[in-house]
Amino acid sequence: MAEPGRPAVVVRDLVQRLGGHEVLRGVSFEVPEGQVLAVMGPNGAGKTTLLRVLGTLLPPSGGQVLVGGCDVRRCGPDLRRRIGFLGHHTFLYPQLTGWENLWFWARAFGVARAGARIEEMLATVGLELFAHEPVRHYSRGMQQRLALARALLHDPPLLLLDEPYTGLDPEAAALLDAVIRRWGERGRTVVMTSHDPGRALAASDRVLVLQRGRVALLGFSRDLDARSLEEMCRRGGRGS
Amino acid sequence: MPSGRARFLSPSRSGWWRQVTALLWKELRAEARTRETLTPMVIFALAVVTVFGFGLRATGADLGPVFPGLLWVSFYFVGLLGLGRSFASERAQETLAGLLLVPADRSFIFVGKALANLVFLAVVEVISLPLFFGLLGVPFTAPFVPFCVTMVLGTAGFASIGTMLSALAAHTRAAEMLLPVLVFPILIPAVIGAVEATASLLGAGDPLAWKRWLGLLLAYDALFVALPLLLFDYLVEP
Repeated sequence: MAEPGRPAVVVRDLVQRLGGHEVLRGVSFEVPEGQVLAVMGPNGAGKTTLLRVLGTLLPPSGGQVLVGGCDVRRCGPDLRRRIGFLGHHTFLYPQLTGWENLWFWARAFGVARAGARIEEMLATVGLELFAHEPVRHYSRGMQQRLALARALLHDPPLLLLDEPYTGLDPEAAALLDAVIRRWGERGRTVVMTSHDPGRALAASDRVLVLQRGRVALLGFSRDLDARSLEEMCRRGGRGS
Repeated sequence: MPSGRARFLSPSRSGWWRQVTALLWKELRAEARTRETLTPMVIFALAVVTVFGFGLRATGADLGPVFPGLLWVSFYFVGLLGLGRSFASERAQETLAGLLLVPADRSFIFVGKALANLVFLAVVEVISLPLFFGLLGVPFTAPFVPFCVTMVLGTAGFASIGTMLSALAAHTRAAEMLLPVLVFPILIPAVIGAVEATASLLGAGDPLAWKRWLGLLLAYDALFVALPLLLFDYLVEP
């Protein structure tokens, strides 16, 4: 487990309204640099919305969100350079090959020595042999691995992963575990959402549980057990 | 005040151009693989020129005076096919959010897309222009360079305003229906400028008026390049 450092993410009284509905209601927490935070909760609890706010894809309706000391409302491009985002969608172009997709995103994010970095990332996610195949021929798991490579390409200090284990086979899931662990060891910060309490506890330093847009629990993973977490995540969804 | 680190990370103008060229490269590469945009545009242009060729030549009338109008209206209709796909494909592939995460002023998306639309329309024009002159029986009497300048300016203004409105229409459910309704009223000054400038070069209008109409086209292009650069961030705001 990483020692807590300076806060990489500070969220204070975050309120997020979407279509007249209050999805997040006064959420507050901090994530120190080098820690992995797993965000859990039932469907509709606000996990994805929280990640989209941290990733600058949604401007907060109220409260304050600081990433690396920068307010997400004000920092714009400078802040986006520090974030790697892996969402429900892969942000990959199916007509392009895996290599071409990474080349495009490397150029867009200003990655130095892009060719070498792409080779390194393809090796990290185990896709070297498929680099020159169009992405539309990839399986769902392969696309998810390439999307992970895309998110890591510019070596961001903060990695946001929205249900990253979806569609991964056990081998790819183990690879993702290793990437998250290594990211934390390098002093990088990870905020991930998950529906799998066992995997979230194993991969994270701390766990935050959202229920109906509010923080129901924020605790150290070592102090929690998977069964009670699962029980908490079953309660408190928008539909429950 | 930005921190020292923030200043170090500030995107430079060369970085913005790199992002523009990266997006243009992506658009052209994807099109080279699938030809999903160019193929229907070329087929539609050929169909239009064939219909006009056989439909109007049979009347035996001198088509010289109406030729510039037929030419530009055809190209603008053909161009709408490409514009419609410009942002619709990003939405369909759920990649627009990815572009919004790029650390740059978001106007890079507009400029990259507009340049790609300009290239697609230029390809269609190069293929179909000889057919327009040939099938409609209008001799090419225009000086070559001024004619090319007119074509580039007439196409650039359309690509620019069309790309901006394509981004706006992509937010709606009926984007394909809405785009022509939005584009054509705003395009009227460009249509007038392009048609009159072409007419004066082909001897169908006042030969001395070319510079005046070119001035109108230039002013239109300048306005509709500057406006999207200022507004684009708001148009694609998540």
